[in-house]
Amino acid sequence: MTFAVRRDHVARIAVYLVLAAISAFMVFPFVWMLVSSLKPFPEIFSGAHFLPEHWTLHNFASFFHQTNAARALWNSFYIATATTALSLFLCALGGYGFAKFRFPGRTLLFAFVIATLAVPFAAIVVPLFVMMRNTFHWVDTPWPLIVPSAANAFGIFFMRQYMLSIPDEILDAARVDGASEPRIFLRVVLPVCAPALISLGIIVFIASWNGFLWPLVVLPSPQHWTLPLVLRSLQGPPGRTPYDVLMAGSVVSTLPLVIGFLVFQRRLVSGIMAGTVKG
Amino acid sequence: MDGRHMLRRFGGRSAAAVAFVVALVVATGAGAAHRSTTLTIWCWTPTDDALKSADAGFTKAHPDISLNYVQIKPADVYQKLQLGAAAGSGFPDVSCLEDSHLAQFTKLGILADITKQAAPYKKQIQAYKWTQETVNGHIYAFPWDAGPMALFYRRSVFKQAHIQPTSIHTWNDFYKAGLKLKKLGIPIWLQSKAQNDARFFEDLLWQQGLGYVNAKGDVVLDKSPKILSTLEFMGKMWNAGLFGDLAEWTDPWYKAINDGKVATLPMAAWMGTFLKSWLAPKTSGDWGVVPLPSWTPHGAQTANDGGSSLAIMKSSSNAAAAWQYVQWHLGRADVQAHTYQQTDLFPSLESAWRSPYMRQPDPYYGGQKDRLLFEQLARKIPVAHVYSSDYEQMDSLMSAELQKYALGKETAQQALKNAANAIRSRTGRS
Amino acid sequence: MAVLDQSSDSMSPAVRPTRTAGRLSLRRRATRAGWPLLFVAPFFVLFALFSLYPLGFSLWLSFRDWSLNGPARWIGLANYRALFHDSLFWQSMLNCALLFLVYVPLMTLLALVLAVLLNSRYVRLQGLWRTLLFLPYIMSGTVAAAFTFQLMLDRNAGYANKFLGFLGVSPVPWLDSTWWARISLGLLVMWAWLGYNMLIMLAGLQAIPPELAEAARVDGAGPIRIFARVTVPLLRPVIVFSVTLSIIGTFSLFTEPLLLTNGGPANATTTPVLQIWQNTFSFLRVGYSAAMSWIYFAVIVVLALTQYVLVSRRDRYLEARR
Repeated sequence: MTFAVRRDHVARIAVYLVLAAISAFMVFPFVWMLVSSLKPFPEIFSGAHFLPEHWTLHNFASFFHQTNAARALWNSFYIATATTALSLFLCALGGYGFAKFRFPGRTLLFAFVIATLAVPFAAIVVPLFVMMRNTFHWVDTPWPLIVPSAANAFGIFFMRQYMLSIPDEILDAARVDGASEPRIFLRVVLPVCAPALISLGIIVFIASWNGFLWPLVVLPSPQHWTLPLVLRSLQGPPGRTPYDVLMAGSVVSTLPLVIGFLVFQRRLVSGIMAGTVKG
Repeated sequence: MDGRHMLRRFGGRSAAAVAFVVALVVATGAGAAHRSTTLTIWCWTPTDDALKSADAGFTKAHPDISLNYVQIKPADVYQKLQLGAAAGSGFPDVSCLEDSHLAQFTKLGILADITKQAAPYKKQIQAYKWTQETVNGHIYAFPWDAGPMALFYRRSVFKQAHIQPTSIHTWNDFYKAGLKLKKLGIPIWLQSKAQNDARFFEDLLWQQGLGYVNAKGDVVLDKSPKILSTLEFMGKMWNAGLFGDLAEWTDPWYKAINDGKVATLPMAAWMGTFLKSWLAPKTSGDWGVVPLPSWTPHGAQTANDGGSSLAIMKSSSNAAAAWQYVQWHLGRADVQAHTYQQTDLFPSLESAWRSPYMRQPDPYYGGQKDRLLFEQLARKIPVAHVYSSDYEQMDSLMSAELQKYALGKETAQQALKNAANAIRSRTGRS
Repeated sequence: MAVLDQSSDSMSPAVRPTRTAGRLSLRRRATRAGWPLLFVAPFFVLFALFSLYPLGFSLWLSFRDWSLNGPARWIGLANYRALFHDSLFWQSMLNCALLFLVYVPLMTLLALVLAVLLNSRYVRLQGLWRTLLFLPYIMSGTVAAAFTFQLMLDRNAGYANKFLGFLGVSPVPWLDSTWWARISLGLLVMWAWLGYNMLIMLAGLQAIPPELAEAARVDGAGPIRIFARVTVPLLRPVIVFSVTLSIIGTFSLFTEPLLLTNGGPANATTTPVLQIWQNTFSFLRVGYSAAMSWIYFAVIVVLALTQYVLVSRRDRYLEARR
């Protein structure tokens, strides 16, 4: 008996060690990024000490001074916000349509929505770019980043899953009260879905904030760049890649997400779990 | 957004208003419009520093033209120009272009034809440059710097290894010197295996008048015994452990150059600007320059690497001002000599070589009169076909095969055959 | 109106059917008025405009030679024929397959094990571990993550080799050999997505009634046996979902290989998306890229379908045996 208990102890300690090791691997890049951003350039490449010998905020100043970072921060922010707002509205609307109504072809249409998940963005990036440029004249505007992916399959699926759990009685009661359908959606459905909206909102915001390939294609001019594009522009040659500034920029572009993550992580975690299982 | 789109957007009424304003401006005299000319110029470091070094004089002579420099790295310039080509908008007035990529853009038809304006300069500038700027007898860019190559050597390292720099006449001598340096644990030159960008390989081809293609534009990579032996020479250097395995233009590479962990740099004149400004300013005085080793005892002692030009965009509405700018910055001997002095971008404008500055000793190279050497070398740059309208693809395909060869994954012959076939299938060349 | 008052709990059961019928008819009326179609319409409009049309446009382009400038010239199947011999493109496909093998089995297994651990009462501080493991998700596919890894994996100055040196292991050419570059890329992707996959598995686990494992335990099964014989089979749909996501994700890699390795060394980490991007924007071969996009799309659909068919066939087989 005592032997069994001791064996259990050993196993438990081993499990904690494995968890700690993997967690360390997960967190280390964040620490490394932060530490490197506080080092003068030569220290980054001497690699003698983990912590900076001469702590400095100079890299952050350089990042904002050398690049259009303030502008890019704003671009990233408003594009991500607008994308999230529009996307939430349209996905909730679509999810509501599929979850709370029976209409001919519903199953088929919904299956189609799910099937569209198999269209990888890279397969359409070239023609989409040509459209943006030649037909819409949307190059160097935020529209290509906001509109095309606003109503996406994942979001509709996600909202539908949540809305299935809304009791029909609430909606019917509103109908009997004479509320119009749009009013029911705005005044009854959306408030009830707040938790799901927050979860989906965070996912969409992160995806938009971090987007790279599409902004790289449709935002050629530096004044329209988002943060990832500014970071990438720092990479040489010609000239040396200023890893010190680059790391400071990386911190700037990651910090808002880390803070948001820590604040909303419960919502995000439960959202991702809810969005994936029931399928 | 260009005017066309604005018109479409604001509709007919606004169009009428614009027409009215234009008419007013014309009526009050072109001078009013002229005063507000702003030229947008795309360039990168160090070309922006070089151009800006001549701006004071230009602005004095042309107070009506103001200059707006946009710093974009070359790879992005090319991408933007190509994308701009689709819409006919989003161009600067003037852009700096590397000679390696020039043909790609002359082919694209977005560069202004400057044949007439450039005609008076034809005899003043190195002939090989004009062949790059010219398509079917029309000139689409104005030549700027050339990239005459030489062998930069580290004086202290050579002394330590008891090597006379002037004793290195051929690449075989270079190999032997490498063996001596190896005993000191210092590579004679740095060539990354896994990250090789094929640039040095191209230089070696250029030196022999060779390239990816022949004069007709057909791929010759796998058809020349000389190209094969050139690649095998690189293999021999790797196998003997004489090349340090560091990628160019990365921090370990900079560190090796600073720390004396590399003995030579077979590179072009423009390397001086990097060395002196930020790459290794502290090693001043410890460098010297000799001609590039040749392949045969009396073979060419130089090649060309890089070089650049300024092009005016066809779409520019300030073409006249743009030409004033190009002419001032690249066409004047005094300006070009000054630029060379400031930035080590070697002028292809031969009249600039008469400047007394050319004969001044350069403290960075231990007081050597390196500029005279570069002048001699520049006169003898062989004609070769490394650059073409498909250069970027060729370089990228060759790099990958060169990396495989360096990593021992295929023979030199296979590497060249694979690269040649890939280039043929991708570019439709024969 | 009292009948319709939601808060009135004291209604007799007899009233209910009529009430429901009345409400149903209201909902039906809303349906007939086309509201639900209107609600789902934005998706279909946007999809048709920004996905379906581009797919068709891309097909049209794939039979043409076009450099974004001037007219597109019909060249029939020439692009596809050239693509068939384009070793670089097939190499990029192969790279993804190899990369998939490098990290997906390990990541899936790790995600599964971690999920089981965090689902059991065996481990405390579950919230903390979950947060730490999931944190990198916010940097998935980012420029910042790629550069950070580039610096960490630098052969000379990076901390990965410093750490190995500390353990007495000689330095590893993380980004300088074909296989290590693939491993490094796999590490970066796994770092970002492990937590996400773990969450998916965790969600699946929470849907499994704990009685099943309990019953097995009563029957004398050890934890490993329960894991292999009860948990994994029950979780199979979720595992399949996670692996499908990983297939699509791996074949869609762009930011990471572009910035970490630039597709090298010796093209070992170039991906189809990098090839499409490069051919379009660096080489202006738009028609050719369109053909590439179609082949790439077809490959992904075939892979996803194959997996689906294999899984469903196996399900049928298992059911028949049962």
